[in-house]
Amino acid sequence: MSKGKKRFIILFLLALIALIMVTYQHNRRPSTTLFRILSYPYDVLNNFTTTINMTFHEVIDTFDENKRLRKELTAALIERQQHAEMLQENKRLKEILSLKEHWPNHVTTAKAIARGYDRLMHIMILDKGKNSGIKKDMAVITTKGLVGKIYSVKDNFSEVLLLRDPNFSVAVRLQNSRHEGVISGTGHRSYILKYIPPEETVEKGEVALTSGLDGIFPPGLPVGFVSSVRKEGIEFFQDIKVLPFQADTKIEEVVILSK
Amino acid sequence: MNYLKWAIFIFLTFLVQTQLSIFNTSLNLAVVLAYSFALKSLPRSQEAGYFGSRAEIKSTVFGAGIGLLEDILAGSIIGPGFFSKGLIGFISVVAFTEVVFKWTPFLGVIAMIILTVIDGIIVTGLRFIFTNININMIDTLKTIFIHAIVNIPFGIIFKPSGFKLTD
Repeated sequence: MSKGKKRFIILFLLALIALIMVTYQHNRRPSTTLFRILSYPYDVLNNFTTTINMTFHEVIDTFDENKRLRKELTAALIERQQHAEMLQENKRLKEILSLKEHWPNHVTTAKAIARGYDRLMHIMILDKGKNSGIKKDMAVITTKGLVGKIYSVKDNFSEVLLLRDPNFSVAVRLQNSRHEGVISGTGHRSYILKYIPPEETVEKGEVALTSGLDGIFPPGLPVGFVSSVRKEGIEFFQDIKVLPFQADTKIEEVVILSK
Repeated sequence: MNYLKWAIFIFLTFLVQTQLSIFNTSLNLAVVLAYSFALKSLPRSQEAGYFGSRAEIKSTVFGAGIGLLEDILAGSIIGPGFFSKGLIGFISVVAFTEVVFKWTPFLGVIAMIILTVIDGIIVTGLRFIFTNININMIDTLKTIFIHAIVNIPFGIIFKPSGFKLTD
């Protein structure tokens, strides 16, 4: 048999079988049993693939949901942090406002924007200057007490010489014993209270307030409290150390007072 | 072992075909299956001395079987897939014995595109004739086009090993 005839037979048989199947179904649907048998592999495959597909989609959905929830959680945490920060700021500003009412010589309030760059001096920079009425040597306070004094003033910012600086001194009076002295910075966290004679009794924990006798700071500003008193091995005056009511590293808003 | 390999191959092909879709169009990998079987059967028949007709019969029967399976899985009328895939198997062998004497990737791509288009036309045409379904010509052409594009890489991948002209 020639190649062409063989090919014709193959094609003819193929077309014939297909035609018979199609025509049979066209005239009447195959029986339910036959259809069930024929569709069995499809059902098995479909069940299998549907299960895989669903599991796959569930995993993807879980990943997406996880990603979304993480994003939302981060946003919520940031929001909560901002809220807490605002509450704290609100509290601080309220306290600063109360200072304004308490001190008639109030000049302005300012924000601490930076620490000084000079390694030899303890300086803090404020966001207000001459344009806000700030002048050199004005007292800088917070609700907890004296912070320092204005050291230099520019148009829109000013520098504060902090209490802890060795160049800083303030005339004080001890609240209970009423002894007068001078507190000087040491460069460290504690200050030194000078010029208290050995015969005077100074208790630990006694509060030191500005006396106003230096002509720079208004009287009555809290400066710190006595942390240690030493009378032994001294020459003319007692060795008294004073700690501030607040660390100058935690200062954010301050009030400037005129003389 | 060879039967098992083909059984797994068929299973995986239909698994992918029934589950994956591109632009909401399911794939037509059964054509690739019929084509690849035809190409693989060519050298064996050549060695056995029945080059041509033996491969044609085998490929046609395999293609028709694949088409039948596809018709069953599609849940529609049985016959269009049977005929078209059988024809694909037959044409694939004839093409590489009578028309194309040397396989190249480019010819593989051309063959795959033509076979996919032929399959699409036959299946759509027969279903239109025998089931009276409404067919949107643009959508049908788009579907055939996507099928052809997806099948192009298989035209490069599948090639007849040691294929030579003997007649």
